[in-house]
Amino acid sequence: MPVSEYFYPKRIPYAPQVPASSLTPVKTSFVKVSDGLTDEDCICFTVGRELFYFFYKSFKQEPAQPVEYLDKRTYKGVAPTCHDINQFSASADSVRVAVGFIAGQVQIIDVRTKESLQIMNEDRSVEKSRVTCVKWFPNSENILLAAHISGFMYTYDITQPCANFMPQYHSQPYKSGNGYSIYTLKTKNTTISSPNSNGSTATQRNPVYKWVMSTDGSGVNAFEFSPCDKFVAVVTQSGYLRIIDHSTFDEYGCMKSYFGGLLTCSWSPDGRYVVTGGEDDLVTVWSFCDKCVIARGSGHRSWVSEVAFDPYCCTIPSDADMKAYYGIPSVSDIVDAQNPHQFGQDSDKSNSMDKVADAADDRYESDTKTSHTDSLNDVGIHLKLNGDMPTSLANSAIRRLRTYSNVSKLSRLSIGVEGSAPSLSYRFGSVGQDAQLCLWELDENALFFLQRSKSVMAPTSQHCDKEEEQNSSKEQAPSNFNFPAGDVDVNGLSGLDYSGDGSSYHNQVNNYHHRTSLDSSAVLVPSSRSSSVPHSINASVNQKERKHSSKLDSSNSLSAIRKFATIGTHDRSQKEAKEHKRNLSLPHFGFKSSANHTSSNTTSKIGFLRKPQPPKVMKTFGTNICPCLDDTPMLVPLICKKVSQGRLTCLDFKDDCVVTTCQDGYIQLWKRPEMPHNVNSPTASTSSLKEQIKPSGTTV
Amino acid sequence: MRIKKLPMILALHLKRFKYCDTLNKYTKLTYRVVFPFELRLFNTTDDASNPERLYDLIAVVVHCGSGPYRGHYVSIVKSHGMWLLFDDDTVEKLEPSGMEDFYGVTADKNSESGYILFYQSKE
Repeated sequence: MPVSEYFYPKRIPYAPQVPASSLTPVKTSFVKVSDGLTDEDCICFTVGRELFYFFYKSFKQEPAQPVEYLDKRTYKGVAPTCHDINQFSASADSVRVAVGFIAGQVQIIDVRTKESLQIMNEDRSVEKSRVTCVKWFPNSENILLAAHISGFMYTYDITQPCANFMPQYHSQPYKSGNGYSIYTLKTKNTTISSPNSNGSTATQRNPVYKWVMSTDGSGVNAFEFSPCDKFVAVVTQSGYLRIIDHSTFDEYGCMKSYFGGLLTCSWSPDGRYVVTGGEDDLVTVWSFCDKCVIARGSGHRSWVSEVAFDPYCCTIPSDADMKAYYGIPSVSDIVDAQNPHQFGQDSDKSNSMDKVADAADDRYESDTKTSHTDSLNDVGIHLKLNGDMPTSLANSAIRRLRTYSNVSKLSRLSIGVEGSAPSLSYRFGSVGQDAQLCLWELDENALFFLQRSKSVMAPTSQHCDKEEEQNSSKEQAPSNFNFPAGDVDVNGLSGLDYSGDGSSYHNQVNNYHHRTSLDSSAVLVPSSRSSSVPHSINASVNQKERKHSSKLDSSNSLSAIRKFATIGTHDRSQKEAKEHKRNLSLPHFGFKSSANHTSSNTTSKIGFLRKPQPPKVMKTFGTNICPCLDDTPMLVPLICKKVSQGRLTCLDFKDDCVVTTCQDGYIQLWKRPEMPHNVNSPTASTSSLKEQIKPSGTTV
Repeated sequence: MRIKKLPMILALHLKRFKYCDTLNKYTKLTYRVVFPFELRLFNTTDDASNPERLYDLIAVVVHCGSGPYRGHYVSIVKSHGMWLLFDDDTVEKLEPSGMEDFYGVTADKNSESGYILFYQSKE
């Protein structure tokens, strides 16, 4: 399969003879630079010890011509491992790039003026281990975050010097979370111990924060700031995804890989979902609203090295429509409901960062509205006027089947209304060490699978017990999340989970740092419980129903929807038996299985109200943090294609193509395959090709 | 292949050799094969008990050298929470990130490549 166009600087595959552990990943990143008249896409590309910066169009349009570099650097002694362009401050005159190195340093360069501005951690006194990921804080010119393979992350303020001596941190963490803690510098001591600097700059301010992200020394592999700029998603070698509010350092939620380390993460354009990829060869979709894994995807045959949402192929209704038709609140709603502003706390330390966060909230509001919704809004209104009239046969079939199994309040919402709902789908891609590029579609079926099955199986006893265990475990996230009381009806989203959270919440109040919405929690618990418990009195009944539902699901996905991405239907009929056996043989599921077998209302209730004991071992498997394989839908890729010889390291989506980077030093451009059902996608219509990725130009 | 009974210790033998007709002998395959520190099996039968059992990597036998008829074996063992590299009479501490050196290098016929992997069930 030929590639569309390719580029590599030396015209030979990059294959140095060094130990694999000292090999640095080949990375690309993009920036749009405006000189006032035209926007120019530029690429920054690191391979081996070299860094290149050039116009994207220069190899896109004339592949035969040698690429003209705007900047080219060759490092001696150290090799760059990662880099990030400051998108916020990038202009025709200045493009700042932070480059992380294998020995722990972070250099700030300007690839436009070809200046080398500053080096943080130059003498490695702050950190000696490899930088795995470096990113500028959103909307910040000067503050960046660097993650290391040691499990530490550092916030640097590049307006402040990074002194060349061992930083002294306060012995008490500035903030302690579940499995992570944040430390600040002892500023007084360092002032004294820096004899060379004069009085005015004596105070050492860097690193501003030291983030200790693991207790067992396992490394941070990557992180990504949320589109709302408020959160950072951090993935670690220990397999955790943590969503942390980077101004307060509160953990919003967390997730664990099926097994092995997580290597990459990406936020959906609206911030409602985070996709991760890792050493379990899976992609995992985590819902920001529900704080749980809602789907996994199987298609890669080795580790998944990068995932990215395709913003050009996501169909996201407006916030209002999302809420009305799908019961999904916006990210800002959730944040507002959960966390009344607490920015005052660290104002002394990081004024600039607070401003950034505040400004970010405002910007996000307008951003989402303008970028995604305007045209879709019209569609939504139009369909609404049509009322119950099905827009198409397939559509109505999908909706009907989707709604039949909802026994809770969701059904009221969904019947009739849903047929007119604006379409909703997310597209993301992944690349892996198997040299495969996979494209995935997260459509309504996947998004609501869990919601649907939860409302049917309603495992009050087992889920709530798990929730309690999970919440009482010290390593766990306080996944306690409250909608405003008014939202519960519209929402209906896995109310069971919230009730479980709510009940454990009362036992766990002291463990949480900023739980301000106790009241709404108290309101929420009875309402959701009353709606869900009656359906779950008998576990065997539930299982029958569930089995029934999954059968219909499969027929649904086979006949009604002719989409590429369908939910992989596991063999549910055998699963039931399997689950019982499994529960019996697993010691730490003992409680769950006993409740399951007696399956009486009383045990459920007892389980529900049981005071959680501090568990000895952390239990995540089988919970929302890391559900069993059969408890979430398994997505199959729309497209799964081996596109290179070497393993792939980077994936980007441009308006006209998909860009992959491989460890051999190639950058490849791919035309998007046409997705017949996705007519809203702006790029799909430009291509008349079939479902395979096809070349768009000539090769060198 | 599907697994019905998941063992306590799971030993995985990578087939790092193949018969080469032109040479009339076995040659070593140095392909890069990554192996995680944690593992669950996907290829279990439907009636397997505890099919989602979690395994921890506890030891790796590594073959060094260019072919199946020559070379040297070293082993990597997790002991007291740290990884140790046993090479004849020398024992060195190994950082977990250094495990990458033993995945194998497809282009390098002389690479030190993981050959037998030992996983132990967590429960």
